[in-house]
Amino acid sequence: MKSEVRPAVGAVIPSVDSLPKAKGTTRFIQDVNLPGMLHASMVYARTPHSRIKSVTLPKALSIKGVVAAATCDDVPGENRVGLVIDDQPLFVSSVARYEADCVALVGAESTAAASLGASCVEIALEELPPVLTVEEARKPDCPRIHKDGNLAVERKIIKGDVSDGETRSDFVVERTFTTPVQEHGYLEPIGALAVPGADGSIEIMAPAQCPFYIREAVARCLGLPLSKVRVIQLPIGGAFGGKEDVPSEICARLAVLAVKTGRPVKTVLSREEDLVYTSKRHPMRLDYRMGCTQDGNLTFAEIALYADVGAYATLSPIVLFRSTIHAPGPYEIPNVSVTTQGFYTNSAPKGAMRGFGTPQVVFACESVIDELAEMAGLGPIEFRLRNALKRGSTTATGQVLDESVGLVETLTRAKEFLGDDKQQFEPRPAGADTVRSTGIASMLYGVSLGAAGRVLDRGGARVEILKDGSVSVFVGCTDMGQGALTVLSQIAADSLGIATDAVRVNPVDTGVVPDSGPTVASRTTIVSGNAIIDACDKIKTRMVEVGASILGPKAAYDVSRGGIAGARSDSGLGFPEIVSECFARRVDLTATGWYVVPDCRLDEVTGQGKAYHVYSFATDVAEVEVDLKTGRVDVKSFLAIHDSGKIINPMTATSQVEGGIAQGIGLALYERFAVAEGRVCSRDFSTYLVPTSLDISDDLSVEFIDCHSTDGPFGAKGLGEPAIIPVAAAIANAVSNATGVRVEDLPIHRERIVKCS
Amino acid sequence: MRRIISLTVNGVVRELAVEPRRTLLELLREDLGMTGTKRGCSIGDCGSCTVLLDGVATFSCLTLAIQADGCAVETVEGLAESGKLNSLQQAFVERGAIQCGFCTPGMLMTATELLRCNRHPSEQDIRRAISGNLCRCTGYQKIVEAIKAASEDTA
Repeated sequence: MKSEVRPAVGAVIPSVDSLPKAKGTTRFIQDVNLPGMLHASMVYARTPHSRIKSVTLPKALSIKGVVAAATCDDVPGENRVGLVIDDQPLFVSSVARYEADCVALVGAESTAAASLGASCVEIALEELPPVLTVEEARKPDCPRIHKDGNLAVERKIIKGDVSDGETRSDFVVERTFTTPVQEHGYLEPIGALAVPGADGSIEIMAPAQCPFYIREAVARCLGLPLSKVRVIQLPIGGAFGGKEDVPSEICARLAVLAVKTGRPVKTVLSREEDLVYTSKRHPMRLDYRMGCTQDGNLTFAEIALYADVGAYATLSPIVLFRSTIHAPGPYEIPNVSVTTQGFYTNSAPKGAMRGFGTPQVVFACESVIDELAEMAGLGPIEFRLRNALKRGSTTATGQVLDESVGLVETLTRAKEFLGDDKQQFEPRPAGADTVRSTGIASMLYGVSLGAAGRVLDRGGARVEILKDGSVSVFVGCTDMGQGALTVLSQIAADSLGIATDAVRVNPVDTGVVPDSGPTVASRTTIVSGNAIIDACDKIKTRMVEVGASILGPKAAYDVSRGGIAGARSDSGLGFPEIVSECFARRVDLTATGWYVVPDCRLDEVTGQGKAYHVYSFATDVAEVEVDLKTGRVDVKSFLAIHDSGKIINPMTATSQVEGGIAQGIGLALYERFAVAEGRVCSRDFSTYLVPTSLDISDDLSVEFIDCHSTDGPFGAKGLGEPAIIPVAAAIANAVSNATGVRVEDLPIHRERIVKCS
Repeated sequence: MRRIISLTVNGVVRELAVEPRRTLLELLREDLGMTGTKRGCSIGDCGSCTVLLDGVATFSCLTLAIQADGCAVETVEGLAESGKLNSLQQAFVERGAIQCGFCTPGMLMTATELLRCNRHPSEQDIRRAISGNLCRCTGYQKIVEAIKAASEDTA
């Protein structure tokens, strides 16, 4: 019998797709060209709010190289792309609601002709008064952006009685915070390619997080059955939520022009278009009131969130669900009220951005927690430990946490790291005008879609064992650089007891694998991973039947060696042998695996119930140096301690968290998306500053607490989004500790530091 | 008016007729079909299009093709030796310096220049050298570690 295969799960394995990326041979959308392909350019309204009177094409069509254009009149199916709320047209037909609302698409033989053609499309419009802020949008006499008014989303949690909680409080903190728009800043601009089929079908290739969303959008706009739309995922050059729903709109427009011309149509946005047109993180105003007893026990939280959802609701109902659930933090609080409202404004739609509505509330909540700790005379860690959710605790939605709650372990580790719970958080003079201090922040994160996305929360995998013993896997969730292909290869390898390099996990192809919902919410490892395990189990059952006919009824699958073990320890069939035997007997070694996330439901009125089936936890520790003369803040060191259950690949996991820290530093200190009078001013990376290698501390540490989840594959939970969530909060708390002035707004204003300290 | 230019790309002499307004990035990607060099912004903000021009890390999106006349251009496609990754590429793979991979070609070229000029760069030298190459995935840590490892490897 073969010796044991070294387990892949838990091992450091370099990303399986990194070799071609290192060679420069990975073909991104910008590198893919087909014979006869048209290049397309979108035509935008170019004004924040307007009534479109006419769109005139002849001048554009007269440009040399321009072949065709599409507008709302060319859409064969429905001219709609609204994902949750049906408020968005594919091509604007009457009212344009933001600067980059798309009016038409021009296709040409070259990118230059396409963009010249797009600039020659004549739009006659009447400007309407733009609604630029939530404060305006909330006013009763404000112009309506959509016919039902400007309130797009409303969410609520009511637990206990906050006024009762307040009367029991010895200390109360009341404070208002604001958080900014954040741009994803992936390096690969969005693009896509639509290829019409001879039989009326259509194939889409796109760097997209959610191929199944694209399939639905294209089918709807073309009036086709889903079976006639096939979406193949291309390598994704970063996404962070930005390639979740936005590609659906682009693909549907390309599909309209592809059908109209009978030619493949591709577009790749310029960086400027990408910044102006695509979705962003929701900016918010957060009104927090929280209280505690003199012993430091939390008594109540009364929270009101006001978010700007932009011109269309897109994913806002789901994002703001997550904000609402996570607003009271990872603490046991007897009385909670959270009300969240999202308002339309004439700006780019706000949608999914890593953390999905959570970094904002964690920043506000963790700031208030620090203030309450100080009032109660407790160290920030001690205060958090006193109130932390533990196994058996009840959350703000009344959910009892029955397993895998690692928050206390993350806090305990932070305390051990700092060695002290008070002095470390005091200001420490570092130079003539500089001062250092430390801040911490904790979070919980509901893994996968939860109650709001219940219906979509399932996923499939197709596993096929080929006759040479290699394994081909298709899943429904995508790799966007986070390492999903690698982690899923490891899971498949250990499910079968074979080496990881015998497994190939393919990019998503909607023609092969069942609809698995979106690649979001840190759900890929658990959803696709569990589906792979299910498929492998089905195949192993068939292998065992064949093995039993040779080795006797006690034959069983042996994952430690890969293959079938017989009754005696020296009898058995290795993996290649059992595979050959199955092929010889014409046994099907292909299976579709399926995984359904445990059911979650909330009461519509009170927001009480099970919000998510399991939670990840984290505590971040930031040390900053503040220059009191210039207001400059430097993050000197950063420690992130995560409970994401079993870590399948420590290297890719660490790299995920390090990337999240960098993006969080950007949110805390640098990233200011400037808009004036409804027009974006941050139209490139020199006016929208994402952190460079010099802006990130060279002292980043990432640690994991393995708090096994019984439902996760090999005990795993989600990690991608938690990576960013507490970062800005920890930095803000560190800056507040250093300066003695509470940070209320992100990104942290240098002027405020200088003025107040 | 097209102009005939001659340049070597990864050691191969190329003679082409180019429009004076055409960028080196366009020449590489569109005229020569060498798509390893990436277009991230077209205006010199992101560094994805970095190539070596006579050994100097250069944004090919801000360089006119005719400026490369008579020059030696090196791109990511020229790094591997007979299909095998060089030590820098290998370090990027093994150290987890690659996530989405879009910034990788430019990052590798900048690091190549650094390691040729400075065999033993400090961490700060590395951070300064790659500060014109944006990466949104990794937080730079693993990239810095990979470049450091490659420098120790070639010591």
